[in-house]
Amino acid sequence: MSDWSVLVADDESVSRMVVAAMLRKGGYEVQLANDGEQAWAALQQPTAPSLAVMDWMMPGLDGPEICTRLRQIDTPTPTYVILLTSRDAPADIVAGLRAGADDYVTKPPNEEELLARVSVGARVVALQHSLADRVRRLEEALSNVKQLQGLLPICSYCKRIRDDQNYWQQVESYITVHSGVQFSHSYCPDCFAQHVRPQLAELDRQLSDRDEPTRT
Amino acid sequence: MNLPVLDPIVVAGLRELNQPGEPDVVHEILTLFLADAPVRFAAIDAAVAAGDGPSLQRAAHALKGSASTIGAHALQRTCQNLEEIGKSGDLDGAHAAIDLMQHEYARLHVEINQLL
Repeated sequence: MSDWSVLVADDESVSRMVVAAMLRKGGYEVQLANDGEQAWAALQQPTAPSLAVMDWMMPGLDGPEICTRLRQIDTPTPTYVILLTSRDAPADIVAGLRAGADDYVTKPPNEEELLARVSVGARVVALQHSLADRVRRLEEALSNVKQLQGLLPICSYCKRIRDDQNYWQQVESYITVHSGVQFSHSYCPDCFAQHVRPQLAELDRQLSDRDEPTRT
Repeated sequence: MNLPVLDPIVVAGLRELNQPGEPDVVHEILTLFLADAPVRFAAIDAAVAAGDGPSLQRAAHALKGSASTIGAHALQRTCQNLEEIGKSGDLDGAHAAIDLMQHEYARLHVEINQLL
């Protein structure tokens, strides 16, 4: 079974029923619209199908008019539209594609051809969705990088950084949260001389103090 | 050329759309066609009576689409003729074309009834 839902819009009930039956047999969920207005309303819904098979000629809003409206919407995942056109009207095909249709099928549709073209549409829509998802994640990453490049309030003494929620964080944890960078802790030669060597000397002294009584 | 009243190859193709546990697709489609056709005839008659070429073209085009979908090629041809008359705007031959269309529809109706 396919996960895709397809809107079938045709004012001719017989044609609508046949196209719907072909798509259902192909494993698609089908949503029906009896005319252009219904089709347009269905495509405005948040759960609107990403694929539509629409008749060229419908009362009210025809297929190309809906295509024109759809293409005016700025979205990373536009509806994939297949127009149903008459076999004897090649000019309709050109006008439909110019209006923004992605493909066409002549009426009456051949079952195998319709399903093949709809599966091409499903592939394109899947690619668009995955691309839109990657762009969204890249934009998120970019916004984190921008925060790192911006002005960071840092404590002059302890070097902790104030985050957006007004909490003071260690530099390491702040950068890890905003960039995904992981830190491995070590020490530089200067700090070894200044901090580590005295601590080691202190440790040695404590050990020799502890051992002293047993020797006497 | 004698066009088939109801093309058995098209009907067989529609029958293949049947799915287990679902109603018979051919029965549903042909029943729908018989319910829909009179509405289209009324629109065609009204368009001719009003001398409205574009409306005649649209109504005949719609019936032609339904006829081609079920394989009613003879009726489809008469609809195409009416569609062209509507497109030309000269509706003189429309009444004769409607008579021919009704004749083909009557023959089709008989064949559909045998299947239902």
